[in-house]
Amino acid sequence: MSSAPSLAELQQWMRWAITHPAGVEGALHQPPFAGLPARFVEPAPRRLEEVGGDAQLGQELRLSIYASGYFDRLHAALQADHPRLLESLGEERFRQLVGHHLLARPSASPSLADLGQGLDLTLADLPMAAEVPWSVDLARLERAQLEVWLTGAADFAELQLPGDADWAAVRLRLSPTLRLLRLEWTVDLWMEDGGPPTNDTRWLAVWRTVASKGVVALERAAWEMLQAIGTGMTLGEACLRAGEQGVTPEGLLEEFSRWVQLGWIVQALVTPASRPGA
Amino acid sequence: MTGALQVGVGLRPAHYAGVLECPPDLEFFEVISENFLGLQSGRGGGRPFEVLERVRGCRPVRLHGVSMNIGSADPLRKDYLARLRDLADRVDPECVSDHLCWTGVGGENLHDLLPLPWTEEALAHVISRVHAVQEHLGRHLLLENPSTYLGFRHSTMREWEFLGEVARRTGAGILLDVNNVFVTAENQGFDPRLYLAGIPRESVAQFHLSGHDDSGPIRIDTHDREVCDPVWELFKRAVERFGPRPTLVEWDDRLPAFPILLAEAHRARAILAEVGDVQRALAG
Repeated sequence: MSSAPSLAELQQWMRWAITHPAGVEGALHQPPFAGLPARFVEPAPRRLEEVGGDAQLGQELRLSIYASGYFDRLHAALQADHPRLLESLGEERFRQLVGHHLLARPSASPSLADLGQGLDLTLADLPMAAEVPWSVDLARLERAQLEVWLTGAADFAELQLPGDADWAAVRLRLSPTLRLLRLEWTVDLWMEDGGPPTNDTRWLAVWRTVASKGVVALERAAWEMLQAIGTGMTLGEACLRAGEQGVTPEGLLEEFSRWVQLGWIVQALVTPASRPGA
Repeated sequence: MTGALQVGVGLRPAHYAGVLECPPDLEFFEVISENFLGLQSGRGGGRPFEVLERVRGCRPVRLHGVSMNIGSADPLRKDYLARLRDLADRVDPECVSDHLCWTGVGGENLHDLLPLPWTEEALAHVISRVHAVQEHLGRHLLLENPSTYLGFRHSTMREWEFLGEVARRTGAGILLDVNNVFVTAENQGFDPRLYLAGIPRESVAQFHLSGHDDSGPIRIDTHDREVCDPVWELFKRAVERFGPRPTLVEWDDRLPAFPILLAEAHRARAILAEVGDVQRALAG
């Protein structure tokens, strides 16, 4: 029998046993299967002897309670965050997706809400993404909805500019609770019971304020302008680009007015270049 | 009613609307801290935090965490502690608590309350980390005993000795989960009254109660049903030993209608009052 393990040795070994995709029994008794990430190599020496078991329940079964709890808890969290993806994939495929996701992107966050980060990327690498071709878009849309829900709304709006400011050099700040998504399938319509998703590009804004939330389809030019603003383009550059795409000044003004009312634009930043006399 | 007769329930999203519309006959709510921290890459706690701000307008709030990872061999996560401190500064909770356990190692979070070996090494490790957390948060921590399904053969002390020593040497309070004492005792074959007797009287700052599943070979802490009679009896013993303390009923899965949850909290309050009356009569 080996000497008593350090705390670190014991925990590393337990993590291996509890999270192993083959379960505790498979981890302990089956050879490692191909393609397993390096973290599933068993830390030596084996520490099963340190685990107390008795006639009521043996060591392996006691460890299995934690292993089942691990998978079931994370599976339930992803189900709760992706109810329509679950519906679309079906329970068995969703369960497989969770298994692959935990292998590819194990949780490193204190919060379960971060677990679904990258679920769309995990899904895109699996054959089921081709079997349900809109599923990756659906994962992205549900994730965006969760992200705006769990992000603090802007608690201010500073949109007044000095009368003589060079407006073309102004930079606008978008609300942290706005996400812009380009999707290839009409999953937003499907989520509203609008019929099966079709393969049409959608330019979406997913947003919330303290009082309301929603998913809105935009014209491509409007979506691209918001995207450009969000990446730091000046107002002048963004308007120029919109004009090149055929957006009229009146149309532009109407869009800006709507975005401000919806709380999507929260700040006008007068940069040194846009200050009068600069 | 004295200040000691405080009962509350764990506030979950399904309760928000009803609680805000008609605040129930409870002295406090407890919330899971991590549910109000928002996303790791994000900003603020989002809509849940906005609701929490309204809830704390009608009742005091207690923050109860599940990811402090106080017993892990990994370093403490400074980013997590900073976010927790920010949350506590904004919510001004009656207390901040977490569990005597580890939840992950090697940078991975298993999101479970995993058991520690009760060794001198683990004791020194946990004590140093509780000191560090308390310094970071600028307040004392409460530590809860989790339910466990296994023990370790190289443990050199009992769980209650370990927990009591952590409390004694750090000033941290004990959040004594009576259901967890019962579940662990049944699963590991000891008398739960020994646990109560081994905990320092002055350290217990709060009680937890919840339901568990007893249908399998061992008992599983599920928080999905009423508190069972043996746990109510153990709770009464705990109140007799430690005195009335703020008591919380946890119910996380298969949530019942709120009145059922409220009835559990009121049953706890009746026991707190009954024991308090007896103790006052004996003292008088």
